[in-house]
Amino acid sequence: VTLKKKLIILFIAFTLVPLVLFGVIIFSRARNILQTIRTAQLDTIADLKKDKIETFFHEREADVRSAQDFRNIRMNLPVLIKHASDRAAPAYAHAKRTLDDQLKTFQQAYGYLDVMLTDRQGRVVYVSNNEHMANVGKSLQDGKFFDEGRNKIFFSDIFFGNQTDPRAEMLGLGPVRDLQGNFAGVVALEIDMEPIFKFIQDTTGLGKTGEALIAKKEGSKMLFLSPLLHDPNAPLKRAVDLRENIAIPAIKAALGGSGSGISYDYQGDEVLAAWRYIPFLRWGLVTKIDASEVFAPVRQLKTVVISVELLMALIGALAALAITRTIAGPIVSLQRGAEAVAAGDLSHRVGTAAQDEIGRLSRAFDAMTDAIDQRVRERTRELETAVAERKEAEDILKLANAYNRSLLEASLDPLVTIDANGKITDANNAAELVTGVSRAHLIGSDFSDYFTEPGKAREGYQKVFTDGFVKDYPLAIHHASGRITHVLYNAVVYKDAGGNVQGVFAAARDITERKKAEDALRLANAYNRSLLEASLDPLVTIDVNGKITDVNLATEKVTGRSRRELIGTDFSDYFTEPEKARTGYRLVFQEGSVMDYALEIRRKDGYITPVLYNAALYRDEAGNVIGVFAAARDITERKKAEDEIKKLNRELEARVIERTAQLEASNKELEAFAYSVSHDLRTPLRGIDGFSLALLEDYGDVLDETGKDYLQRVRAGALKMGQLIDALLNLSRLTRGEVRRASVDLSSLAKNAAEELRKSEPERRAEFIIVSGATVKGDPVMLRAVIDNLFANAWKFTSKCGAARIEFGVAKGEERTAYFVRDNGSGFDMAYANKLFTAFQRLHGAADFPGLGIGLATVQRIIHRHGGKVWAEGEVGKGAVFYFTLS
Amino acid sequence: VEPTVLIIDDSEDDILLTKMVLSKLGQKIRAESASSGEEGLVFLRDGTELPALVLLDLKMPGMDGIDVLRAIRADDRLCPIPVIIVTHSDLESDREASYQSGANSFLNKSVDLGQFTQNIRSELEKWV
Repeated sequence: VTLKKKLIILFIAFTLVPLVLFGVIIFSRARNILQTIRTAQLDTIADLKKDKIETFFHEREADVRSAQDFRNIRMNLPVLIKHASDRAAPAYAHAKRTLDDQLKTFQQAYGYLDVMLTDRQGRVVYVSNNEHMANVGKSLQDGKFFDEGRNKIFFSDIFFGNQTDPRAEMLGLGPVRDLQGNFAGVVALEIDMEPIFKFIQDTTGLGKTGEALIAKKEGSKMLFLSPLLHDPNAPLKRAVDLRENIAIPAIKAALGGSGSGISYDYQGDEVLAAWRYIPFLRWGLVTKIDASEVFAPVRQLKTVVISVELLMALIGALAALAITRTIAGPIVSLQRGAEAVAAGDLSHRVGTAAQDEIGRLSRAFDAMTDAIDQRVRERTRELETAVAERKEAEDILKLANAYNRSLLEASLDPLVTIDANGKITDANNAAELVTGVSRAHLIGSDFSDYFTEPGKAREGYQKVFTDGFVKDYPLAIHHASGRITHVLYNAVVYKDAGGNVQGVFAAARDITERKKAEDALRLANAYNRSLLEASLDPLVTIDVNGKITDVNLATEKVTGRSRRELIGTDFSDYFTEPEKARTGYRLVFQEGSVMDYALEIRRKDGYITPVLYNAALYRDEAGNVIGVFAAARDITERKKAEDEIKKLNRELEARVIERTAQLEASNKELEAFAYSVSHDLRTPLRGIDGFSLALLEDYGDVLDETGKDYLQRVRAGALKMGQLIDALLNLSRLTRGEVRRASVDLSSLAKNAAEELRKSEPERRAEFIIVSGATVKGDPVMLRAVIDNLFANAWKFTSKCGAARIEFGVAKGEERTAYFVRDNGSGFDMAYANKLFTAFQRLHGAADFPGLGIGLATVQRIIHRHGGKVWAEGEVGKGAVFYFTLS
Repeated sequence: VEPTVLIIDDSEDDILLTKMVLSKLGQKIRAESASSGEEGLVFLRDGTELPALVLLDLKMPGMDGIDVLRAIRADDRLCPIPVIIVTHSDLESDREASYQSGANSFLNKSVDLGQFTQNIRSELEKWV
């Protein structure tokens, strides 16, 4: 059995078993408590009901006793009996009336159905209830109870009334004695059973199935007296054999027993019942409740507890599973881990984050495995490294030897090693070539033998032994054939592993070619130098600190100082503005060069030469900056010319300003003049028109038609002149003020103009063709006037033709773009084309085409102010085109 | 009581024409006139009653319209009088100067008297 199973069994045992036990105890306890409580209730109710019934019948007994003693009855009963056969006798009537007086009241006051009197044989002689008069003369209830009642107070069995009154009733009987004490008859009180049944059937406090009943022993049977819950017709009808095993509490009670407990009722159902015997009436009383109702809470409790138990069991099982997982799971994985590590898998880790003991054990186990793994790895690495290192060292050694040898052999420089005595111990191929002696011969021979100056060679290697090295030691090697090779020697001592000097390693560099190059360079330098010296421009070189490193003759002249004086001094010292000079050469270091940098050189005697400097960095072959090369150009002459020009310009400017001011002034004057003229012209004109109107209106009646016509003509003339003045003012206004420059969409201006014209004469047939997107720079207000005027013109001159066609378009020319307005109107004679734009010049009669003759003049003025041109093309009767350009 | 309109204008013709226009408006108006700015101011300062409206020309020798207007606006008693500038000028600069100096309106002396009559009528409705 695994740990998991054990744990689950354990959990179930510890959760389920106590729960079941607990449940059983609770049930039986609850059942007992319920039974006890319910029994006590039943007992109480049974006792109560018994008491009440007994009390009721004791009261009825007292009533009978009272009736026995009524003097009225004792006196009059014999009278009634005596005159029974002659009811009409006054004595009878009197007796009956006297009895009625008392007994009717008695009957009603105590709730009896009737109060009856019998004679000594049991025949009814009196009823208080008139409805029962039929009973008079008959024997009381067939004489059933009379015998008992003639001797003592007696309560009859329950019986049912006659057909007309089928209710359950009882009789309370008692003997009556006359005033002499002799037996005279029986008084019988008829008791209604309904209230008693109601009281018995009252199940208050008995729950839903609760019931109370009364029963009575009748021979070998038990007879039910009251209606039953399940059988309302039971009274006197339903009976149970005493030996039967049902209705046990009722049988027990009827047989004179009292008690309580679980039993079976008349239907054979299990009930909790209390039963009592009422000896006075010989009745058995039972109160009972169905056991199922009594124990219903226990059943409910059972359902709840069982549900809870099942839930607990489920939870328990789940908890058991979870716990076994957390405990058994880690143990199993720990076990597997141990097996894996034992099998040699050191990478296996149990791996858990649990904080319990097993978790800690697992981590400890993992740590142990880690440590083992780590150790094994380290050791393996150490071994591998050791093996690899050894192999590498061997390889390097092998390679180094081969490499060293090949390096030596591959070198173009003659290499030799020399021992302390100056004997060659090794030589390479280059050494063989340069000496013309084979390696075999070289080894062991004297090193100094192969040089043109053996003594210098000897000194050289001895110096190596004393100093440890020599550098660029010049020697000349003597070839066997007699050829000389110039070399520079570099040599060092070489030592063994113990640091003891073994000999000298000497490498020679053939410098024959270099020597040649140096010679060439020297020549080139001399050439360059002469070039520099020949230059008329002052040239200098400056180092990074601003010191002069070289100068040419021109520089000596311009500074008045010798080359010797100049070299090593500060470049900036020789200028009128040393700081500016410094900035100049620093700029060269920063930017790489400067162009036309203006400076003034001050000569020793104070003469100043203006120059322009061009300077650039110069570098060695490796590209390292050495300094600045600066060339100056004497610009004395140029400067003079420039100054002259500047002066002329200044004079010219002053003249222009003066002229402009004059022009502006005269312009202003002109404007003021034009304005005031038109203003002052208007005043008299207004008088002419105004007074003409006054004449017409106020003195019209004294003028004939001709006179009135003249006055109308005066007025028309005045109005026309007013319009001319307005137009002139407008024209002059367009010459005033600045021409603003803004982006103007001529196409949309044209569209607006067309729209306005259409509105002015909606009945005219006209087609407008307007190119879109014609946008220019210009004064928006002025250009609007141009488009408006040209369109108005076209509109006016097409008024005579049928369908007007007015087009605004763009004509791209070679230099400028021209815009045009074309119409198919009356046109004009090209001979007069240049008169078109003159103010007040008209090519048509005013009667044909009314107008002021100032529109095109305005257009021209505006176009000119924009720096553009305007011209027209046309032919009489074939339309006209007006072109304009803008700057 | 018929309202008084004071016309200040150096042109006798214009005064006459304005009076004519006023008389034809079909309204009981008493038209007074002054032929210079100075005379106009004297009339205003000496009068016991203030005119309902002043029609003021701009271009006059001596005190011009703007000077007169400023003087009216600077005088606590005269200040409430509505002043309409009536001039031949249609310069934007004149219009602006007039409004800045406190003119209530700016009218052009149109050569067309019909047009002028209409303008005067609508101004009178506004101020008188």
